[in-house]
Amino acid sequence: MNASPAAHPDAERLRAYGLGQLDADQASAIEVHVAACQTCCESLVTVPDDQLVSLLRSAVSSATEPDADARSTLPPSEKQAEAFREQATLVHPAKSTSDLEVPPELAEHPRYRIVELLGVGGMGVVYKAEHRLMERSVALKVIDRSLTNKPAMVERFRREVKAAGQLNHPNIVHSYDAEQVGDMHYLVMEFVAGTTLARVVEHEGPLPIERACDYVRQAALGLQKAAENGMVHRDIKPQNLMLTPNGQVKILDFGLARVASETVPSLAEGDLRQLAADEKSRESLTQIGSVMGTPDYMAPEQITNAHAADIRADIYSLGCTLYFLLTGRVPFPTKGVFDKLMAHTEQQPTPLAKWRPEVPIELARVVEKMMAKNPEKRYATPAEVAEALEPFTGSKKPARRRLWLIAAAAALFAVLILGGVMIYVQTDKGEFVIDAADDSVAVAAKGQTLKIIDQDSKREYQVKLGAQDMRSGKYKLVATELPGDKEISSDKETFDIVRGGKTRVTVSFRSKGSNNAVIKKFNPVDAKPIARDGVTAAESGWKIEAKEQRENIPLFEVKDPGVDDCTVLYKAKIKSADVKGRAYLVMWCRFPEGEAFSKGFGNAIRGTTDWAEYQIPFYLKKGEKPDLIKLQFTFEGSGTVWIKDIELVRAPLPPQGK
Amino acid sequence: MSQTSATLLNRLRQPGDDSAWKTLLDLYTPLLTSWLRRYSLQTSDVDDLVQEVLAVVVRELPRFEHNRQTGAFRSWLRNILVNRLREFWRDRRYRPTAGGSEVEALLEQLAKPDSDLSRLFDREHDQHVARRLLQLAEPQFTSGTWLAFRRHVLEGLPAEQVAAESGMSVNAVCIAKSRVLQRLRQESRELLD
Repeated sequence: MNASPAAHPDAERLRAYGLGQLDADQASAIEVHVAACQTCCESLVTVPDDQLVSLLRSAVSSATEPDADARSTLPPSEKQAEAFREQATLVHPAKSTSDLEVPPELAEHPRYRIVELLGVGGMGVVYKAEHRLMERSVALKVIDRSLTNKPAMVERFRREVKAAGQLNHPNIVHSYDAEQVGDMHYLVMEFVAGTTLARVVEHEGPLPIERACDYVRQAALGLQKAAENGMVHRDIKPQNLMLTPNGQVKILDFGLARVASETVPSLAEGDLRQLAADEKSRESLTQIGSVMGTPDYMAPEQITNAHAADIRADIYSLGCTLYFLLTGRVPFPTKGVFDKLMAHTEQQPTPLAKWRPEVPIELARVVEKMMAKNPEKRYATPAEVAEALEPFTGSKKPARRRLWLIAAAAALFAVLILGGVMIYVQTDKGEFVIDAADDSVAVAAKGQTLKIIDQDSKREYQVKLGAQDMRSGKYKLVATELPGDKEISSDKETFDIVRGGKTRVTVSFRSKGSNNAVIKKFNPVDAKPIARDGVTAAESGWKIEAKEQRENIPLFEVKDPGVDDCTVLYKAKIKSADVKGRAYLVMWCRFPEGEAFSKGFGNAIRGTTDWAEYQIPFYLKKGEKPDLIKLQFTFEGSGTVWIKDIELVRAPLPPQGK
Repeated sequence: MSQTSATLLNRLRQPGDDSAWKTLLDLYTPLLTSWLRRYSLQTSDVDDLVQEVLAVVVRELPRFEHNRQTGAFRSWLRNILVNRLREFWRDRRYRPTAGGSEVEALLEQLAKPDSDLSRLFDREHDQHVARRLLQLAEPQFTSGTWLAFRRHVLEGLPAEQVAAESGMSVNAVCIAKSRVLQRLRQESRELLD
């Protein structure tokens, strides 16, 4: 069957074949050739990914249902890791398929082998590459030719990049070198696995305050280092801030952004509005857009006198970036380059509090000061910004403290001021859970009664236990406003104090006995796994072996578990040996009104050779009553896993709005 | 763009292809369900709305023409979703648990193609469809072909390594990649383009 036509398909067709872009007929002709041709095979393995391949890979690696519920079952660290399993992207997503071709000069580079395309931005195309000898990964940024067509520009680039190369700081992506092949110029940079903050927000929405402040503070530390070396960035924006999987922020494009910004003819000083009428100025405005992307983060003084702008312009841009991280919106969401520029010089952004009422006023002031129109009114150095943000980064205390309180049966009330605290008041029937978002609330407890004092409105409420639901064992709450006995809420399981459209305090009660009830435990004495092959009893649990490929190994089923409107946890202790690919325990819930569908979550095992405890919640909303719960073990590879202490546990749903 | 009669959308345009409909429902029910849940609707309402949206898709698909702009299908689908939600909202069948204005703001965002929410929709659409198409394609290939494709393309391992661990030739790994990608590309034409 070695029918090998002498003629090789041309490079373009071979590439198209490699990516499955040809019709079946054309493909099968080439396939016969490829099956026996070493040369074509060698070029096929270097074909870079296109959009479909990148999409497929990110689709399987993110591995979540598109279901918000499913995603919320991930613990935060897992969720964060999840965001990074997607394709690392340095700048913008690819513009079109024609950008995906590797320039021939690079494809045959003596030192670097191009691995894949990372992204396409205004200033050039970025590839991941590997040093052929040292097996080190780097990022190569090919500078757009429009920026390197003048010899003077090239000289400036080299100098700037050289200066940027001196910047050794954990919060700055390190550039190694500026090189040239033919008339193509490119930068060799540190390869950072991760994703840009722009993408993080796209993926997760506005960030929690502590995270947003932490990221911006890290960027400020990087900028401080640059400022000390006499450098400015000039294009600070979420797209230029990389986040690594361990939470480190790194600034991209130091040196490059500055030179690029100066290719744009500077506007003469004067009234922008008047300039806009002038044909030539309008043109340079458009150019700003094409070189720098949208000017959503650009300081006012950069517009009129780019050369004079100093590190304080970067502080302004960083302020806009923080605004974006907190709200998911740019400060001036008007359309068009000109209107945006006008807004930066003349308008005030919508106050942060409108989008995020929980942003402390002190933090809003920090953002305002960073974004002051007049550079003199801003922080003078990035170090000052970092210092101002420090208190909001949650570095000193955990985000939510937990307090335990034993309710006194005696006459005395214990009063506590709450501030971002979860408080548990234990009584003989169970425990109150009080979740307060701000610090203007005091709580007191006596027996089965709570007193909540809202110090802002000076109102007082009494919350006590109402009727108990016979089936679930849960208590309803009865709330009255004091003084007097005006009942304001009863027959609900939670009591909320809402102010300004936001829930400030939520009180709920977890009755004893009905909480965290074990639905079923599985142990080798009385439980038999459904799968007969590959599962054996061992070490007071089971040993599961998978030789190869994907395998779903059904373990246990519970018919009519009688749960809804609660959290179902599945717990297990797992250890592994020689696991290749991913392996995880999955829970399925089948609902009578629909077909069986998977909603559980895989928690992949990563080389734990010791027992590790896994506990994965699964939220069932009201009315979601499964008639069957199934546990299975999934291998997407091979290996051996031991599992023991498997339990299905019923727990209350977490409070809403978290 | 060459018209290949076997794409999913083209099969749907032919009357009476039940398996194509099943595939469409299978592809889109979970995606739409998850999106509608974000509007804090009752579960039963969500199910009704998903069916209504898919009914409109069924009815209107013969008139859908891909305008060759990236994402034409998902934009079309998103518009149907927005319109159905707006009608539903107007009918007042829905009692909001969150503030009503919040739901309206979300709808307004979803109606704009360049809003963050729409971009999130686009992204989840593409990833979800890609994932389902992969699941549907897997049984159509031999296990060896699929394994090579998965290790090499999805997990990003070098072809040489995949070849070594599976005992295939590097050529065969490249062929497996081409074959599976060709099938996926064909099936996804217009849906993901």
